Amino acid sequence: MYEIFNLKRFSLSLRRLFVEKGIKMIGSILIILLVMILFMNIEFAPGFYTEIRLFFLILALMFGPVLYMGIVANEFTNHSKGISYLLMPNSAFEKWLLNNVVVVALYYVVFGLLFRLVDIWMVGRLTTAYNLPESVLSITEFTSDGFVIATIIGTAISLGILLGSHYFKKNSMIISLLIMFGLLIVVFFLDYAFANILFDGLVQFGNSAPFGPVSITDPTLAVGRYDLAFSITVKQLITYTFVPLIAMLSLTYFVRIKEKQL
Amino acid sequence: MIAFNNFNFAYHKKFPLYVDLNLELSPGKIYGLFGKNGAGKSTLLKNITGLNRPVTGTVNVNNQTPHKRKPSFLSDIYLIPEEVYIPAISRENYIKTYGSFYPNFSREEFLSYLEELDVPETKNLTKLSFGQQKKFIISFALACNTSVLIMDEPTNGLDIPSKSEFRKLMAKTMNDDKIYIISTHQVRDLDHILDHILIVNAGQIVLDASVYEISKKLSFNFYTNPPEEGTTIAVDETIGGYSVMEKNVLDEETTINLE
Repeated sequence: MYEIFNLKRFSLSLRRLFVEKGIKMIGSILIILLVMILFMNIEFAPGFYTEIRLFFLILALMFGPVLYMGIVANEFTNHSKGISYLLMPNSAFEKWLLNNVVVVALYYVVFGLLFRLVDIWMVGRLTTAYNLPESVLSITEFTSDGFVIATIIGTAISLGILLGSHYFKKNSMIISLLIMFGLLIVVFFLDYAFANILFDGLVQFGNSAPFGPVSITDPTLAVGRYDLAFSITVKQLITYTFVPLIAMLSLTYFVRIKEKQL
Repeated sequence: MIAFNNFNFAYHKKFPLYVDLNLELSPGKIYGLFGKNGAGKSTLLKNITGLNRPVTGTVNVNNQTPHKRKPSFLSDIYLIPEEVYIPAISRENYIKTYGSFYPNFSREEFLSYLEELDVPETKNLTKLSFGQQKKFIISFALACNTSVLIMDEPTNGLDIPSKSEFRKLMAKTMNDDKIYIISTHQVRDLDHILDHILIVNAGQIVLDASVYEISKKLSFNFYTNPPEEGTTIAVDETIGGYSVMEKNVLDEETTINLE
């Protein structure tokens, strides 16, 4: 057990993370929040606030980790850094736990806490200024679908960047994002191809977002156009597709730390 | 003890670098690892530290398998690469953060080595020059008191007084439980402190002998006139004369000229 996990050793690597990267990590979250606050105050109106809040919340949860992971996922940008990281007396499990779980979770915990404070502050200001009844404008629920979906997708993107840093020395974040974007395009094409095989060439490419509703256009039929959708919700769809993906990325990252050679 | 048993290694399947290598390195010695660029020195060092794994055969370091990179193994070995990595933190933070990973780390020794190597204190370690950063890591590595210490070109970037201090520190910190391996091209910087010479060429150990064995068999002399053949093995024409490697037929004791 000592060789797999030791609390003292793990707390030392946590200390190392915060001493070396803590300020940058928290700073990147604060920058994201600051931009969000600036946009929220462009127009001081309840309707505008709820719209911009949702937009930025999804953006920050899905793509905020890109900036954040750029700071964390840089262990192999040069040879000596890679040697220092791999020869640090921690087990592969501890290295995995730190980067793959603690660092990723930390973003959402810190961002979530700070966002909640900003939200309470903004809702309070708007409610007072417009003399609104409490039920009209409320703070965001962390269990809302948008929040959960964006967090799941954001986690997958974070792990993709983290994994990419083990494969690409230079510009690993950009390359990782390009690969993820490329895979998304491939999935679109596959979805389009399968939909057309199933529906005899009646699906247009623009309607083939993976797992989304498929519009079938058939001029020979009286109605002409049908929208076929899954009977399950978007949240369920994202959960069923992205959670296994997160597990796979996470497992690959662990194997990579364990087997990495220089 | 470090042991390579039937060690085979290749970066590409078609081009094996090491074939069936057997080698043992014992504690209490400072090993000098020499060889041309691309001869396989770094590969050997990476396999000792677990940064590479053998294709077949085994590498054993103090009864541990390096490539498993277990914490108990990693806390008893230190590698100083040619270019060192230093984070942008203070000396004190470095001691508290990194030193704690090594059970035999001594803060007092570290500070005294820094003083001996004349490394100034700065708020941020990245403000140190390349040579100072190297001396900082050398001091840290020695203070970790690991049983295996590997150095790749440790004197690169060091000024002349620091090279002398470095040699003194090597000799001072060595004991019967430790193995030091120094890979370098700067043979003149280190030839006086080495106990054992390993020369690698094209994945083969072409020389594995102690300095004592070498000096018993060979003598190294300087002549102003061209030497006669007979006992001469190699001649290198230098400024003002000839550096000559000869058979030690007279059983004389000479300083080994590794160059």
